[in-house]
Amino acid sequence: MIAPGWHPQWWHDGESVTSVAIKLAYSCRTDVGSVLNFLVQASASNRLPVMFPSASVARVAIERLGLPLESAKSLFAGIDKPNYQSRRWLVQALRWCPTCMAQRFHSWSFQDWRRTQCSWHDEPLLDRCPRCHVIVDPMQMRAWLCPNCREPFARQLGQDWVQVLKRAAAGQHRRLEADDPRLDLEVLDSQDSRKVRILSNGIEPIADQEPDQSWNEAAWFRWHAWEQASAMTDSALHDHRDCVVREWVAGHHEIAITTYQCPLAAALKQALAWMGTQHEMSDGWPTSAMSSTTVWETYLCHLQDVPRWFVPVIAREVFIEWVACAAESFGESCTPTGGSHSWRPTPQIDLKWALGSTNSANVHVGAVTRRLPQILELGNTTCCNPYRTSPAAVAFNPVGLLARSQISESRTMKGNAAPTLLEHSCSVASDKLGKVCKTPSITHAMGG
Amino acid sequence: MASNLWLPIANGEAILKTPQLTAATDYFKDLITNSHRSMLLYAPPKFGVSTVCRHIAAEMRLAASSVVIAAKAEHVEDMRPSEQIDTLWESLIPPNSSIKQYTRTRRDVLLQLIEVEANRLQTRYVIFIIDQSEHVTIRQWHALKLLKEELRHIGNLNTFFLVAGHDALISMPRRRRDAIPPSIANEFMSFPRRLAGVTPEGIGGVLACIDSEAFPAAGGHTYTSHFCPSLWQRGLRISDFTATFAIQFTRILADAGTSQEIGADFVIAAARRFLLAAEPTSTGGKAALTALAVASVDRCGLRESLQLAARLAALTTLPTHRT
Repeated sequence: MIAPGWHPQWWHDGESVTSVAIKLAYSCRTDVGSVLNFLVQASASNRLPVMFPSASVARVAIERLGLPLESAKSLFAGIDKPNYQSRRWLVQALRWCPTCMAQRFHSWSFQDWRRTQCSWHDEPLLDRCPRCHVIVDPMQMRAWLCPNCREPFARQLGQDWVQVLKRAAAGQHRRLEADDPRLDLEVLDSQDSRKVRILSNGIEPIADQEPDQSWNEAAWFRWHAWEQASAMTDSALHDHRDCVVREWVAGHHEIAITTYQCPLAAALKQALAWMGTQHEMSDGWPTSAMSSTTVWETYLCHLQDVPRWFVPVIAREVFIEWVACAAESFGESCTPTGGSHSWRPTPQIDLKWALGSTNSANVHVGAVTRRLPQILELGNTTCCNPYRTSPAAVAFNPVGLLARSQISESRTMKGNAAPTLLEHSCSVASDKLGKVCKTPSITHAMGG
Repeated sequence: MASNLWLPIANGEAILKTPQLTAATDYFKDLITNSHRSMLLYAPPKFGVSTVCRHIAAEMRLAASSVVIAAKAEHVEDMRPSEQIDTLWESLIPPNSSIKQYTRTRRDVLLQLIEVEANRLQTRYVIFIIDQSEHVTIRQWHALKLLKEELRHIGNLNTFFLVAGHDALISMPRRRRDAIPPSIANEFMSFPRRLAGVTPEGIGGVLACIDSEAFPAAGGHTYTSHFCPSLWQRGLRISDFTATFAIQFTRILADAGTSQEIGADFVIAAARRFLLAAEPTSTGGKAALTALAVASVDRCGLRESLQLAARLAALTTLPTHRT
C-alpha cells in the first residue's frame, strides 16, 4: 500500500531516498528523520539503512512508494552489507547541487566526496548551509530547509505544490552510469603509492568562501574524519556495529585504562573520543560535540597551505592512522574474554604528503596503517562482546538485530562479501616527494 | 452461495460475508451511486458494524476510485475542547503514515494527505468511515462539518460520510433530537440503516462456509481442516452440528425473551470455540462433539450480553422523579 501523502509521480528517475523523504516530509509536515525511519527504519543513531538497507527493508520501502523494483538502484547506494570500497567514498551529511535542489532532486552521486561538481549542471556541490555554514544533517531537515538556520535550499512551494512536484519530476531521467567518469577527485591506490589528483581545475565549493575560515577548517577536517570512522564501522564491524556503543571511553586528557570486549570497536570509540566526538550510534554527529582542546585540533595548523580539495584526504588518513594504531594496541592486549588497555594518540604520525603540482599529490601512510588489513580482522574475529553471539541478548537490542538480519541476507544473496580493506593499505614513501618538513605532530612534505 | 461467504481483504484478515453485510454494503453503494452524502449504520453490539466498516473500507480502497479515510472514534468527553478536536484529526490520519506522534498541525496534515491521495487516484471523492461514532462529541461534529466544507470549496472534493455505531446511542430518536443539532444530523446521519443479525435459520450458512472456505494462511486448508485435521479426515464437518447450534442459540434467545436475532460475532465466537477444542474431543465420538457444540454456544457470550442489555433497559425505563 502506498504511503499516505506520497505521490509516485513525484519521483525522478535517479533520485535518492533522501530526496524522496524530503518530499514526503513536506507532504506530511514532519521531519525527514521520521520519514526515513518510516521508510527504511533509519534513525539518527542508525543511518546505515539510508545508504545500504537490507533487501527486505528496501523492498518494503519501494512498495510504500509505489515505485518499480528497478528504482532501488537510484534510491539506495547499495543493498545489504557494504564493503569498504563502496562505502568509503560516501558521506552522511547532505551534499547537493543548488540547481538540482531547486528542481527537488538529489542523487547519491552527490554524496561521493570525490565529486565536487554536479554531473548535470557543472555547478559546485554544496556540503554546508550557504548561510550558517553548518554541515547539514538530512535526518534533522524539514522540507528543503536548513535544520540549523531554516535557510531554504529551494524556493518555497505554493498552493499548487502537488502539481509542481509532478511537473518537476516529469520526464526527468538522471540515472548515472555505474562507471561515471566525472569524478573530480581521483584517488588511486596501488602497491607502492597512493596518488590523489583533482580533475576539475581545483574548483572549490561556494560554501567554503565564507569569512570564518578557522572554524570552517576545523569543521571540515573533523567532518571528514568522522565520515571515515562511520565508513570503517559500517563496513568492518557491520553485524556488530552496536559494539561501538557498548565500549567504554577512557578519559580524554589523561591516559586511563579502558576495559573492552571488541578491540576494533574500542579503537574506533577511543579515536573518536580523542577527536572530540562520538560515533553516530552514540548519537554523535560531526558538529554535535565541538571540543576546542582536543589533540585533533593541533593538526589544523599544518593544513594552512594545503589546497581545499586535499583536506579530506589528509583528514581521513590521519584518522585511519589513529584507528590502526589503536586497534593494533587493543588487539595485542586482547584475551578470549576481552581485555583492558590504555591508549592515546601518538604525538607524531608518520604521514607524509607531497604536492606534485597544483592538482595532484602523493600520500605516504604510516607503518601501522599498512598493517591495517590484519588489524581490521580483529573486528570480525576477536570480538568478545556477549551481545554479539547471544540471541537472547540480541533480542533486547533492535539495532543489533537489524544488523544481524542484514548480514544473513547478504550472505544468502551475495555469497562472501567480506569487507575489503586490503586495497587501502598502500603507499610507500617516494624519495622524490620533495623537501620534508618535520613537525611535533605530523610529518608532511610540500613542493612540486 | 457458501463460496461467497468469506471475503479476504488487504491485510489477510477474512471477513464473514453474511447476507446482512452484503445488504448493508449494497445500501451504501446505492447511496454513493445516487450522489447522497451520508449514511448512518447502527446495530446492537456484536452485530458486526465494525466488520461492515472494515469491509466497505477495504472494498473501496481496492476499487481505488475514491480517497478512503477510516477511523474509530475515541471516547473524549473528559478532554478539553482543543484536545477533542486534535484527537479526532489524529484518529483520521492513516496509521501507516510517517507522521510523528506529536504535531501541532494535524488538521493541515490530514488535508494535505487527502489532497495528495485524491490527486494520485485522480478522483474528486472522499469517503469518511467513522466507526464507534457514539463517541464523537458535538464539537467534533462541527469540526468535521468545517472540514467537509473546506474540502468542497478549496479542494473541490465531494465527501461521503459513513457514520456507524451503537444503535442505542446513535439511533435513539430522543438523543438525536435533543443532543445533536439538526444541522449535524442532516449532514452526517441521513439515510439510517440498521444492521440485522443472524437468525437461527441462517446459522447453517455460516457454519457451511467455515467448512468450505480456505484459511487465510497459505496451505489450501479450510478453517475446519486447519484447526481440526483428524476431525476433517474422519469426514465430520462443523456444519453437521448446525441443528445443535441453532437449537442452543434459540434457547438462549427464548430465555432472554428477545427477538430472534443473533449478533454475527457471537456465532463466529461459538464456531471458533468449537474448532479450537474439537480436536482433542473428537476421540469421544459424536456425542462428545455435540456436547462441545452446546458448551461452545453457551460460552460464546450471548447469554451474558442479553442479560446485561436487559439490566440496562430496566435502568433506562425507571420513572424519573423531578420536582
